[in-house]
Amino acid sequence: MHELGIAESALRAVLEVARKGKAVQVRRVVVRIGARSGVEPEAFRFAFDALRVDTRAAGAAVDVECIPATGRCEECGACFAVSDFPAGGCPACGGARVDVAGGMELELKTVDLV
Amino acid sequence: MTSKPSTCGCGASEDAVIHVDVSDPAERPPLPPGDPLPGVEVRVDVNVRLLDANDRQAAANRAQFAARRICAVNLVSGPGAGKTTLLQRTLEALGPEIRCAVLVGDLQTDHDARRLQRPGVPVAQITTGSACHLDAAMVARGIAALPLEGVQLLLIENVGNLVCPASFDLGENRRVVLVSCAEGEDKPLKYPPLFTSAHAVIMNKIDVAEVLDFDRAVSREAIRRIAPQAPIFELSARTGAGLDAWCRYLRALVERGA
Repeated sequence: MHELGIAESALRAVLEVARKGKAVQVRRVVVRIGARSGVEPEAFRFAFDALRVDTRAAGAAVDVECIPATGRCEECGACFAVSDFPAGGCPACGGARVDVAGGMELELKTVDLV
Repeated sequence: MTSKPSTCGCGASEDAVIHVDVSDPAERPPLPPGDPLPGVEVRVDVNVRLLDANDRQAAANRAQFAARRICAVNLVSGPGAGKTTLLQRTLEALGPEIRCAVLVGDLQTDHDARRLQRPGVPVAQITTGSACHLDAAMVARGIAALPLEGVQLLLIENVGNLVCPASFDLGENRRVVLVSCAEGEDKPLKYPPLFTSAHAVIMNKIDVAEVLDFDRAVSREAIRRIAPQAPIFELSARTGAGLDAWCRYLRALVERGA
């Protein structure tokens, strides 16, 4: 349940933005969670909801953008969706060396304040 | 923080273990300011990693290790894979040749720190309470409590867990993942994030592989599939088989300055 620690970190960041922006309330929070980040979006949401009670973010809508895993071929540069781990090879040129291009994201993207 | 001074360590007395309390909230670095427009809805583009605070603390830890010429190794595995036994053998094998210090994380108890007591090796136990992993702030407190003068190799034993430690950079120079023959060959396939980030993988308990119907070749293949970048050390911390190659790896890290 490391989502709790990550949600704590996210809430701290959100409230810091709200404090700096002298906001009365946080309206909306957008976070990006990659499919390979090791964080389960539902577990994150559950933890975040439990933590934000009685804070300025209590009533905010929380949008979680789930970022699919993508790979980039080191040989030909092709980008493609990765379903299984690891990528197994480039579908364009058959190259074996594939980097993770997306899916590791774990970010607080935007915070809407009023 | 309650940190008792280390005794000489030769008697492994009650007070020889340094205790690190992680219950105080850590100091957090400030975030970029928002746009102060009272009454009007504004969107603040934050674009920070959710683990930004941890990442920054990890960078600070890494800088401190570099300044002190310490190589820090984060040892991660599921519970019972043999991290503590491996560290005991490693400390014995590296002996007086390399100056080591140990940080060990568990939810409760200082059993592991007591097992790791050696003359001249400072050990700090981090009891995380309920946290299922070490984070960079806990490690910062741990290293603040340890006498690090002259230390060349810091061995960090993470909380036994194959999932959560993957997300938390501690500022270590090397992340070493340990699997044991008692766990089945397919652990890397089931828990890829941790193995993806491993600099090296240890296959422990090879002395009982046969009894457990554990196929070392299948396990090697699974590790290579997920962690092609990682050298594999097959060893038994209990019998000492294969320990030499692991110790050579650590010596080389220390000599190279990580």
